[in-house]
Amino acid sequence: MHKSPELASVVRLPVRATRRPALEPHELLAGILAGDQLAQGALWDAYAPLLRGVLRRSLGPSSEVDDTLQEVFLTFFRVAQNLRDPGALRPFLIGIAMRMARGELRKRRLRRWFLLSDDGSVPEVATGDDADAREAVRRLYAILDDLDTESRLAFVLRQIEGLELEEVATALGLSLATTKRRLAKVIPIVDARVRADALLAPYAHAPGPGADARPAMLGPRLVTPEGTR
Amino acid sequence: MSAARNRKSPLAALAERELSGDMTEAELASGRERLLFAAVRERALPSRTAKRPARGRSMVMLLAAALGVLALWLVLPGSPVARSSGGMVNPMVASLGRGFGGPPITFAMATEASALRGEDFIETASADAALAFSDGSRVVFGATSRGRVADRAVNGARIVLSQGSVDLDIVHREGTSWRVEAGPHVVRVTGTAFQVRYEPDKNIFEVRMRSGSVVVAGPGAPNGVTVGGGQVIAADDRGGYRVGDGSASAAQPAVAEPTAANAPSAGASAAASVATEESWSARVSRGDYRGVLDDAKARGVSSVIASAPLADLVALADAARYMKAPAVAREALEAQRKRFSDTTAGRTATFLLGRIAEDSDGNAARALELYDAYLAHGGPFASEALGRKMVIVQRTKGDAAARPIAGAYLESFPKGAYASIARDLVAAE
Repeated sequence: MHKSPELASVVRLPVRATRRPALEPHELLAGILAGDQLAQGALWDAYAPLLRGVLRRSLGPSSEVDDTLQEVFLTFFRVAQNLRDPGALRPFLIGIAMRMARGELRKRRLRRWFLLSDDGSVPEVATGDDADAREAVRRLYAILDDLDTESRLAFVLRQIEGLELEEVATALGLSLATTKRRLAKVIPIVDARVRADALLAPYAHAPGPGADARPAMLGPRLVTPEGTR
Repeated sequence: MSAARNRKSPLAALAERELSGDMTEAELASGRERLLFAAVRERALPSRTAKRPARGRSMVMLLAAALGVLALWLVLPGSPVARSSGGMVNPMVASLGRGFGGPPITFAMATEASALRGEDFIETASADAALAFSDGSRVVFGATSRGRVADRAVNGARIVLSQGSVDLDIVHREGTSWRVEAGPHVVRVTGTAFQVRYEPDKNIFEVRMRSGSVVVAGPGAPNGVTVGGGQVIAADDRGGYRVGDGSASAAQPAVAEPTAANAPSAGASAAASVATEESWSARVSRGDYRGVLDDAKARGVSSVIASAPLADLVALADAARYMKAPAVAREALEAQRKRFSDTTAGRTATFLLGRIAEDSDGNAARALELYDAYLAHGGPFASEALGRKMVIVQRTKGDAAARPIAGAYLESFPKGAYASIARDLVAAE
């Protein structure tokens, strides 16, 4: 990747190493529109862990997401003027993250063609020490890898992130009706494959007394998403 | 996140836990500074900021950045600009100025820049890619390799090798600290020249020393194995490492290095008989559970249980659990517990036996006993052990008895998979 000498020579930045104070969404937006570094840093502090988690769970366990996470924020800085309602900051950021995830999943499919890795992802250092958990997560994402990109992201946002249907629709740029249709189609597919897997099947039940005991991955909303809100 | 969605399925909670977005303060600070640096850089480049009108503040920042460049140019003896006169084809600076007692070292592509994918990712095709660092160290990714410069500090860098080989020539200075990570293996460096080769698909990891010494740590040697000039260390197929001199093939090292994984093995002959085969651990990793189980039965489960090294016992137990063969799993785990009681794997076996007692045998009392035994020492499954204990106690003795456990759980694992159940219990008081 060639870069211009001007780009290569920008090295130092007068940044502060301390955590930014928490700001309200309207303060964050106003500051970012003004190019204020304090607001940019505060936005990072407030939303980086959330968005990093969303990206990791959208892309799967073998994905490196930190570059993508940076790009989400840089993109937001570029398009922040399009956000009219500061109260919608979080779904707006998740929407950007989903666009990035969509692109990354498509690139991954392309990489698969070139056999860079079995699943097209860039291998990352393993997560926790729980081998069973890692194996279960790996298997879950092997199932998700077989889905088309839109269905995968809808599933993750709804079933793993726990977003409301409107939030899922907004994040993916889909209509509510399309989102419902997509989820109604994909959830039973994933659920069936989870149940058919010896290691994943025990996880398919809702936890403990008081929870919905139906054998569905996420309880009653799993199969009838529109009827549970 | 909706309050209505607080209670997630175990699988969703598991994904959330295993793929958490949690960041340490250091990671947050590092990412923040990288972001702010990139934001300033974007503003300095009109082509990428066309949608935003130029602002006065941008000019100030650009000026500050330019002054920073000038200062670095003049101050750093090994700055990429200075080094470019020494034959670099395409100098590229990647310093972020993180402020860990000074600016982190920088690096520049000394050969074909097309190998650089993103700022820090390296992916080579048919040619090597050499990185020249500002401290004088040199890192060369071999052909068909992938990796990245994952982190840089004032006294070194962290190189991640995903695939292929990387050759390092590290200049020793006081406090020099470099790391190479290849899958689960870590090579700690203070000043030396060596090559790391990592082929995860073929289960190959080896370090060839040219000078100096390094410490190699990984699952088979958590405390590390020191290797020096001329030696070769390679991961063996039983979860440990073997060290040989440089004249020997890394696949047939001359000296066996005792590790926690293979030292206590009483079945050396049995182990030797399978030394050239694919390890059970590798087979379990690629999902060949049935094959491992069949292999164990063919050799005689009792014989394997009595003499197999720890890595094989762990693999056999996993394969048996995944194949729903609790009797074999229990035998393998009991052997782990008995023969390797002081190891993490031995303690983990206690927890897994608790799960078998709970899930397969329906023996809640025995499960509680084993979970308590595991929790007495702690470990990576502490969250699950305590959560499972809480649920068992709630089921067998009622909410009041389970409530103190729920409180303890929330205190230790507020984001754990059983946190919602614990919160419900505490709230119902």
